[in-house]
Amino acid sequence: MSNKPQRLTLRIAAYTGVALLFAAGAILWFVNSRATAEAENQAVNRAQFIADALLHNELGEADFVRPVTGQRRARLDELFQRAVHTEGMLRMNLIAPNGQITYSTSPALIGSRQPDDEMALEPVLRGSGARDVSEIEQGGRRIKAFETYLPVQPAGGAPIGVFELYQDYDSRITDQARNTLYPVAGFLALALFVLCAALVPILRRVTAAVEIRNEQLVEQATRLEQSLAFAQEAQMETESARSALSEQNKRLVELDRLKDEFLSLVSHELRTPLTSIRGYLDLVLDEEAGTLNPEQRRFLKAVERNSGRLLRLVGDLLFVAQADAGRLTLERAKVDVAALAADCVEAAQPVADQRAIDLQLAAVPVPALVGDRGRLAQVVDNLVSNALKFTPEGGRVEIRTSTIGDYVYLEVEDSGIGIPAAEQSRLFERFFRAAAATERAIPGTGLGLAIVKAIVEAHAGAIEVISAPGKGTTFRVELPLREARTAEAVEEAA
Amino acid sequence: MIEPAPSNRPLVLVADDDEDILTLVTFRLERLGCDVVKARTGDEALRVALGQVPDLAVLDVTMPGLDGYSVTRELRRAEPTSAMPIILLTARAQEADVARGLAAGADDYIRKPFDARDLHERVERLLSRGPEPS
Repeated sequence: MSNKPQRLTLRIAAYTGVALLFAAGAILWFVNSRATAEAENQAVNRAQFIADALLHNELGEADFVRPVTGQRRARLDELFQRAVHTEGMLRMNLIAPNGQITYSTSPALIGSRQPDDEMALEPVLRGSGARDVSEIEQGGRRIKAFETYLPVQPAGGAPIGVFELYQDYDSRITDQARNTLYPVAGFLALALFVLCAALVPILRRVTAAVEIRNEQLVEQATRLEQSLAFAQEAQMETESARSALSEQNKRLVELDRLKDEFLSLVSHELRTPLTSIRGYLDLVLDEEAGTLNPEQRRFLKAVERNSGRLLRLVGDLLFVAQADAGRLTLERAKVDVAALAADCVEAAQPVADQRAIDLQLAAVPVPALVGDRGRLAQVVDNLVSNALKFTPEGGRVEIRTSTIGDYVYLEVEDSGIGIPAAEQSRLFERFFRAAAATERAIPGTGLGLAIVKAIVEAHAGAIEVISAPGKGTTFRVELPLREARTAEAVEEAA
Repeated sequence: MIEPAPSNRPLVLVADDDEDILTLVTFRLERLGCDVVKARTGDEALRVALGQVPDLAVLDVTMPGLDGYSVTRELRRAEPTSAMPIILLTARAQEADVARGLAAGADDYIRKPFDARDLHERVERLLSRGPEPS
C-alpha cells in the first residue's frame, strides 16, 4: 500500500518534469533564435560601421575597376590589417559591379569572379545590404562564416562596388548568442530545480491526501460490504428462525391435533365400557334379572355412584382439554342467572339437608344475559357442590345474585374451612387440590374450579375468591350483560 | 305347527361393534315391544337395512368399515330407506360430532352411556311419528 503513493508521486513528478522540460526547450529555442538574430544584426552593424567609418574615405572608384596591384594593394592590406582585421574577422572582399573580386584579404581570390551561386549583387548595388551564411577555407580548415554584402557609396553618389565581409560565425554569432542563452538556461534550470523541489513535497502531500481519501473510501466500501454481509447473514438467520418457528408451529399444531384425537379416543374408549357397566347395572337395579335384596341393592348403588363419578371425570377431562385448545363452543341463548341459581339450590337441597347445612338463596332478579345455559348451570353447580363439600355439618351456604352497572354478579358464600392465601392463587389450576381437601379426604379431581374459570372466561367474565382459613370462602363471578359479539350472535339467531 | 301371525311389532335395526352394548340395547328395545335385527359392522347394517327396511335404525357411530355417519348417508340416498327414522348412538359426545350426525341425515342422537328412559322416549317418539312423507 505504501508503495503506491510513491509510484504515483514519481509518475506525476515525471510527467510534470517532461512538460517543464518541453517548456524550457521551447523557451531556450526562442531565446536562442532571438539572440542569434540579434548577434547577426550586430554583425551587420559592425560591417556597416567598418564600411561607413573606415572604407568610404579610403576607397575610390579605381578600386572596383580592376584587381588592385602593387602599392594600392599594399595600402589596402595595411588598412585592413590595422583597422579591420580584428578577432572574428575572417576575410574581406571588394567586388566590382561586374562580379570580379578586385581585392581580398585572401590574395588567392584577387582577380577571380564572385561564384554564380553566391549572393546576387544587383540588389546590393541598388543600395540595400545583404547577408548570408556559408563555409569557407581559412588556414586549411573549413569555417562557418557570416557574410555581409554592403554597397560602397561615395557621398551623394551611386554605389561603385560591393564590400563583402566574412565574420567567424562561431565567435561572432554563436558565442554571442550563447552569452544571452546560457544565463537564461541557467536561470531556467534553477527555476526548474526550485519548482521540482517545491513540487515534490506538495505532490507527496497531495498524493498522500488522495491516498488517505482513497483508503477511507476503500475502508468505507469494506465496511459497507461487511454490513451488507451482516445484513444478509441476519436475514438468513431470520429466515431460518422463521422457518424453524413455522416448522415448530406445524409440529405443535400436529401435536395439538394428536392430543385432541387422543382425548376424543380416550373419551370414546372409556365411555364404551362405562355404557355397558351402567347399562347392565340399570338392568339389574330395574330387577330385570330378578328381585334384589336390600343389601344387594345398596352394594349395586355404590357401583352406580362410582361409575357415575368415573363418567363425570371423563367428561371433565374432555372439557378441560377442549378449553385448553380454545375450542370451547358456547350454545348462546338468553340466560337468567337468578333462575339458574334457584334450580341449583333446589337440586342441592337434599345434600344440604343430609348434612344439616343451611342452604340459602338470596337471588334478586337480574337481567337476562347472553350465554350458554348448560355451561353456566355447570358453574353454579360446581361452586355450590364445592361449598357444600367444604362446609362442616351445621354450617351455612348462601347463594346471591345481583346487578351492578353492566355486570351480573353471582356469589356463593360458605362458612367452611376456608382456603389459605398461599393456595388461593393456585386454586383455579387444573388438578390442584387444597391441602385441607386431601387431608380430610374430601372427594374431588381438582378439575371443578378450572372448569368454572374456563366457562366464566369464555363468557368474557371473571371469577375471584375471598377466603380466610376458618372463616369461610366466597366465590364471586362477574358476567358482562353486554358483549358486542354475543349480542350480534343473538340478533343473527333471532 | 301353526304359522305365527305376522307381527305388528315394529322392526328395529341395532348396529354396534360392541357385543355387550348390542345385547343391552337389544334387550331394552325388546322390552319396549320391538323386534330387533342386529348388525356388527357398518356394511352389515347397510345391507340389512336395505334388505329388510326396518321401522327404525339405532346406529353406533364408531364401527369398523363404514361408520354410522356413512351408513346414515347411504340410507338417506336409497329410496326405500330415505325416510327411515335413524338414531345415532355416540360415545363421541362433542357438539361437533352431534352436528356431523345430524348433517348426515340422522333424526336424533343418544350419548353413551345412555339412560334407559332416554332411549325409550326417543324410540317411541320416532316410531309413533311413522314414516315421513318424502
